[in-house]
Amino acid sequence: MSNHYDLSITPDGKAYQFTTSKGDYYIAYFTEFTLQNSRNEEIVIPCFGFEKRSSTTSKREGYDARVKATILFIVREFFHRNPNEGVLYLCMNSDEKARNRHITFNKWFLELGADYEKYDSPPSYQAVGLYSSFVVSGMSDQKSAIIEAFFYTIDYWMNQ
Amino acid sequence: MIYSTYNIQMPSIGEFENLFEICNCMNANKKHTTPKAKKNSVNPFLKLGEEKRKISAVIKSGKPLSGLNKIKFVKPL
Repeated sequence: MSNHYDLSITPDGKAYQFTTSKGDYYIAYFTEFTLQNSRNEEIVIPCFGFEKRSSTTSKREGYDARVKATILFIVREFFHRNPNEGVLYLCMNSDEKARNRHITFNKWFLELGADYEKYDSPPSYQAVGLYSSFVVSGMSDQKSAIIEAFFYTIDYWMNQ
Repeated sequence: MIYSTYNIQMPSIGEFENLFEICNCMNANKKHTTPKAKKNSVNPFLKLGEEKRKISAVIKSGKPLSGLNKIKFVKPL
């Protein structure tokens, strides 16, 4: 039985929203990200992100496993409806915590299930702050093309 | 007139939020010789980082995402 929080769509229709038992408000969204491949073709894929608005200003935050369950539910639902898509995730590093986010994302991915594959930006790029991952269903018929474009795009911009 | 290079003040590393801003700055004066190269002259990771910062600011302020007209959201079903 899933332990996720109840979800709804934001009033403007652009994202998912949920509120935790502590009163923290989350928005989870997908935006468009443009990959390019070796033939200079563009491939637009969704990029997943989520944001929290805390109910209090307290810096002490307890761990809530239901938040993870809810985020994973959203991602699974997306793949259920879009089985051939890939989803990109970028860990922001403006607060020097990209690596921590990346580690958390890796742990959460393990619970997504064996049907999914994850590809990460190469370690040499992680070393300079690029923590980006790409998740795709193992059954996607677009998998090879999108994976190729993912790594091509990273290499293209890291070697400019 | 000769301008002294010492008058040019480069931003310090600490003034950039991440490496991609450095890459984008270095690319600013690069010549993109093909139409595709010109079209692709915006670093998508840098652009994504900017979008995420704007989204974060809007969410934390309690304002709707609909105000972010230039960001393309994939509508949830």
